[in-house]
Amino acid sequence: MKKTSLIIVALTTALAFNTESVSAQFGKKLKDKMGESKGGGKGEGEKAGKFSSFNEEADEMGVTGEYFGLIDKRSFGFRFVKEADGKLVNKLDYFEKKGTTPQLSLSMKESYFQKNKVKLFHAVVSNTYVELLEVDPGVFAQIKSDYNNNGNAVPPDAKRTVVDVYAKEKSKFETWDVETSQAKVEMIMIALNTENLAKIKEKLMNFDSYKKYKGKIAFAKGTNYFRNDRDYEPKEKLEWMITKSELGNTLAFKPYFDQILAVTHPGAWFNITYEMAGEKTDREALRKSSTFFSKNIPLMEKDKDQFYFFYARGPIDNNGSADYAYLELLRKLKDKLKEGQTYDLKVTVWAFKDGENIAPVAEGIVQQEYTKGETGSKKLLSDPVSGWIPKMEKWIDE
Amino acid sequence: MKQTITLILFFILGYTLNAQESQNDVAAGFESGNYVVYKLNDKNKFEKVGKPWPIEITKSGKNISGVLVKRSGILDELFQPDVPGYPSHFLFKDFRLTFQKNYIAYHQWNAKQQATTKFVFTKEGESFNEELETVNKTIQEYAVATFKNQSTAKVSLKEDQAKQVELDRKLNSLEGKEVTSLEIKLIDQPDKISHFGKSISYGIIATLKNGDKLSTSNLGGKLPWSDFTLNHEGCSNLAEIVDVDPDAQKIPNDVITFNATSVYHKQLKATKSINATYDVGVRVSKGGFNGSERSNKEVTFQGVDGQHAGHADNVTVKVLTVKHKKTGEPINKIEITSTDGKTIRYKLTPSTELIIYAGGGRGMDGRKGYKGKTSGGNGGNGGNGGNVTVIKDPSVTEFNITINNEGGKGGNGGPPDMSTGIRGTNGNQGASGNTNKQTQKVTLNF
Repeated sequence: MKKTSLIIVALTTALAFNTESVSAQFGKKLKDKMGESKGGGKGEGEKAGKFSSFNEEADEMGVTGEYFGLIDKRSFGFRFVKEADGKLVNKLDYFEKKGTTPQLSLSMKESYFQKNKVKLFHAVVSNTYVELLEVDPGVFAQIKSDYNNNGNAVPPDAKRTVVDVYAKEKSKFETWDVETSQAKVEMIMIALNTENLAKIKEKLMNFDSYKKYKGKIAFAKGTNYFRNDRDYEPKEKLEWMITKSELGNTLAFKPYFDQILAVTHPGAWFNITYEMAGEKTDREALRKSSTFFSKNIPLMEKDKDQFYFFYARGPIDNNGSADYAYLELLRKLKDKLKEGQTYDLKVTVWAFKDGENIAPVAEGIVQQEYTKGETGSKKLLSDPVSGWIPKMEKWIDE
Repeated sequence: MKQTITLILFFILGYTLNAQESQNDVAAGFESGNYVVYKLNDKNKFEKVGKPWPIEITKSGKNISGVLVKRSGILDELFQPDVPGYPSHFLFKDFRLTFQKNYIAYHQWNAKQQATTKFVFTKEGESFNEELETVNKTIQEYAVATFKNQSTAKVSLKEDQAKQVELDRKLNSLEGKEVTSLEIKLIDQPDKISHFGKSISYGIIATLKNGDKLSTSNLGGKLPWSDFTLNHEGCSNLAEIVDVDPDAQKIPNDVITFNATSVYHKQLKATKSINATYDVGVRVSKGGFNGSERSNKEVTFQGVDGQHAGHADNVTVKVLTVKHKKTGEPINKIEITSTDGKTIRYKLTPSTELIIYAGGGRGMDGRKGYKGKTSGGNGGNGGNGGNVTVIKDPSVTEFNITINNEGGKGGNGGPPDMSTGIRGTNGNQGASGNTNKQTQKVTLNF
């Protein structure tokens, strides 16, 4: 009995060591292929036909067979496995070496195939995401992505880079080079992303703030009233939104878009205009008007893939900062604003491209009351030390 | 000499004019057909691709309406002009196509107005040997010059769009239509109509003489809000969404009233009133600022010692019970004055909580010592809490008030630099404010 146990322990240890060394070896090869070292050279010139027997196998996906690499010019075996050990597995086994043990098993993204007939297989090896996506019958693009999706397929809008192409017939490489495969991958992903965006929007419509303010801008007493702990979960409460505020005091806003900017206006970025009492300021126009504004009004290139600004903006923020375009509006209005009056401040977020506001993507109006008394708006706007207008004038003069 | 100068000027003029030509003119020499493709390789050099790509140029009169690039002969990418009458480029997703004299550049464009060329297409039989940097610069110079020249075309485009918008507006407007009535309809009316409660959404419905109904966008129609003059009372005076006014002085009759008048039919008015319920709790903050915020309040010279925090304001709360002018229910009128010079006025039901926060600010922590001053900085003192006086009129039988006027904590002393200094001392806690409650006759004029 003791002898049997010893043999079992020895065998198990040997097996464990062997499995580890195989995966470690594969990890290295994968890294080579992902461009971390000059990959492909080693196998170059290796005779094709190593996995020709795979071509005799048939599978319902039409994937199984011997493939040749475009960059890594060796031959490889791809085998689609529907079932294993009585269970449905739907995976793709990838072979670099002859034998029964694949060097990698990739999971199929089933929903893509069921709904869109897109054949996508994915795996994570040594913290590197790897994906095989069929771009044409018998042609797969090997993709890498830096996006971490905890072992799941990365979402359609993640950045994907084609690093190699595999084809059953070498003649396919005349058409399917890396660039073309990359373009096809992006086309497939745009189609999938359209569906994904529709799903995201459906989810967002369950949030009161998005549902109520879609295409509009919501205002609050500070940026902290807008809550985004996670993507696509705008948890801010409607009762935190305001439609009236004290002129010169903290004010924050968040635009909610009907669709993401990258889809409605590709290549565009955001601009914001502020209008009140017949005056208007425009961030992009100001940015180009002087080095002072150029330095203090940055381009708004983020959030093009979001249904709202992930971080709300503060024309006058809680932490004592402000949007210089809004401050410039106050400066222009300094002799016009009167105590006790209420003014409509219109904020518009634009899609901006090539020096033009192409179209408004969200609009909102908040009433700004010039509050009475020495400590009201007058102090907030005109106090010689802390008032926004003297501050702004001082900065401009400097 | 004169001839040379003329020749130079001629070339400069020729180049300038060329740089400002629209794509419709530049591309006149290009026809549909197969194009030789030069792809940017890993070494940032243009490398000829084995197989030509078909490109189809569609024209509408003199203008190009689209350029279809069949990538590798298999993937269709349809590029369209950015400004149809005077294009500077053709656009597909975020890729751009720009025709130059002897090639077509397929590139991307960033917010800094820089081009990144990916491919270059030339006519069959022509070769291409320019550097990437030169191509990108040429595209950039051409594009920027052309953007400036597009102004007339853009104005005309905007005019066309504005005309369309105006046509749509007129189609849905009450202008020139026979209207019998207007109605204001509340959408998602909150249960609590009070200071700082949920916003109230409303829309307008107009009934025409023929029985048709037109409604604003938030009620599913296209009736423009610009058709109405709004004059609301007790709330913000905005279209679609309003809030109950935070100042009770502005709700004299305890009702929120929406008033809309047709711009085109002055006699047509709609009014809707709802009773204020005054049952959303209110927190009034009159606390002192933290030491770390002192630099926002005044000019400070920051050393290693933490800044002292600000003291809270002293607050006086006067309360008088009256009857709701519509429902007759008891309501507390509340006036809060403070040493910051502000007076605020609320109405709340007797059981609705009013929180007065008049705590002192927290002192700033001292900073770590450094080579020239090895001891850590002392923590700043916490601010004192404010004195709160509550004066209740004898009519008040119930008043739900919570007061917090504790002194602010002192800042922690800063750590020493290495072992040669000593830790700074912690700042002192601020003194708590006094709370004084009294009953006497109160008069409130709102």
